[in-house]
Amino acid sequence: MLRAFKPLVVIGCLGFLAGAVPAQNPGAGATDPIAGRWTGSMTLGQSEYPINLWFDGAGSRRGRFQVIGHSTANNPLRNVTLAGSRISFDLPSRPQQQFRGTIAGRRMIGTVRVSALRGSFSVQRAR
Amino acid sequence: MRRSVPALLALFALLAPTGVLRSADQGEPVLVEVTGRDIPVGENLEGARWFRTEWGWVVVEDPRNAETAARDLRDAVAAFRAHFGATPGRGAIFETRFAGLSEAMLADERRWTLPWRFAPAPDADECAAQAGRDDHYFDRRSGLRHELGHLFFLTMIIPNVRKSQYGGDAPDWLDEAAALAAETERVTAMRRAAFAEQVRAGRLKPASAFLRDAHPVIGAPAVAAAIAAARSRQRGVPIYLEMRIEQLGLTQERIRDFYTQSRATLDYFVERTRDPRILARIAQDIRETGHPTGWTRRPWLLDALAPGAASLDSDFETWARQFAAAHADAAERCPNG
Repeated sequence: MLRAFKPLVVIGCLGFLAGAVPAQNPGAGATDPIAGRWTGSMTLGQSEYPINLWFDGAGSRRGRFQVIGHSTANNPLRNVTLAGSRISFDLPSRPQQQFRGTIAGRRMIGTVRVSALRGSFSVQRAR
Repeated sequence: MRRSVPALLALFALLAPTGVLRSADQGEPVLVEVTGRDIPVGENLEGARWFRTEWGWVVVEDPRNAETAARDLRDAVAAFRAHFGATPGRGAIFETRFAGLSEAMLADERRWTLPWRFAPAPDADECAAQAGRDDHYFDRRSGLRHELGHLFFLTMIIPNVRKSQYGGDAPDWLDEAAALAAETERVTAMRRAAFAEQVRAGRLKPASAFLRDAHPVIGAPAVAAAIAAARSRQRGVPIYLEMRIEQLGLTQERIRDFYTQSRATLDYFVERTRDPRILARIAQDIRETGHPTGWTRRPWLLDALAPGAASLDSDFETWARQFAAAHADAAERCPNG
């Protein structure tokens, strides 16, 4: 299942249930700039991963993260902040992944940092 | 019977709601773009275009990628039928950023799903820079077919129930052989030439040991140690590992050898048993017994060894040396360069 081997070998991104999972607020996406599911991809090194993000509405600024096919959908995000169109949040993985991005309509794009490795992510709002 | 096939494919195309990019009389897979309410999900993503094929969906932005993916899907299905005598259920190939759409599809339409990063073939400089690394890297078509081979095997033959992370519950060489069987002729030729080199260099593993081997990367003690260390520091969080091959105590050569010997093992068993579906027979034995190597003691295998062969190990070694002598040409490393 491993893709062609490159100098860097991604072993895996394993998800484990961690604590309470924030509930999604149905319908919040209509008015809240980030509430709901966002789906797209994250590029790290030479690998691209399909990802899902979920954010709660009503200003709770809680969220979840998933690498589709690699992890559960129950990985809570931390430090979710929204200032205008700028958004930042962290995934308390080992090592921690830091996301910094901007929102323009139904799209969110930005950078992801894992230790010394820098990559990018791009997601679209979805049901 | 054969005459009816183009007619059926044409009918399939006529029933499609929107444009046909390829028709059956061109010898290409029928590829139909579906739009609006005919896409199999309630809400689409911007840029995602849905193409229906006989064997499943291709969801990409660039129609050229849909055409190549449909060909690869057709060829991977054909290889799977040839080696396992079964047809995979319908599934979907997604350009990676659209893979989240799979969750909204009906289960029957997504028996397997493959996120795929479509990329242009490497240019000569990139190819030269990568020379000596994985041959598979250079043939993008073969890479997609390889991964489809894994998915078909996992969903149809030996699913992943007990063992996490890699290759399902099957021995790793068998899971890999199912994927290698789906590769292009060009990459297969490279694998065979590389195996001949491996034999000449004295790196051949005895068959009985190889059939028990774990994939060298996943089986590397450094991986287990890194996961255990991360878990000991903080439980219940995702672990992201990105390690260099040398950190695993491996070499590119060692990893490549696993692939080339897996391919050679497939060739050897097909040749000795004269059974093109020997992988299916082996998998059936493993499913029925739960034993990964019990089939190596079955009469149907032992009777197929060369006359006078003392054991599977000695027969495989003899075969491998004859194979190496017959494939004296150096392995092609860079087909697109």
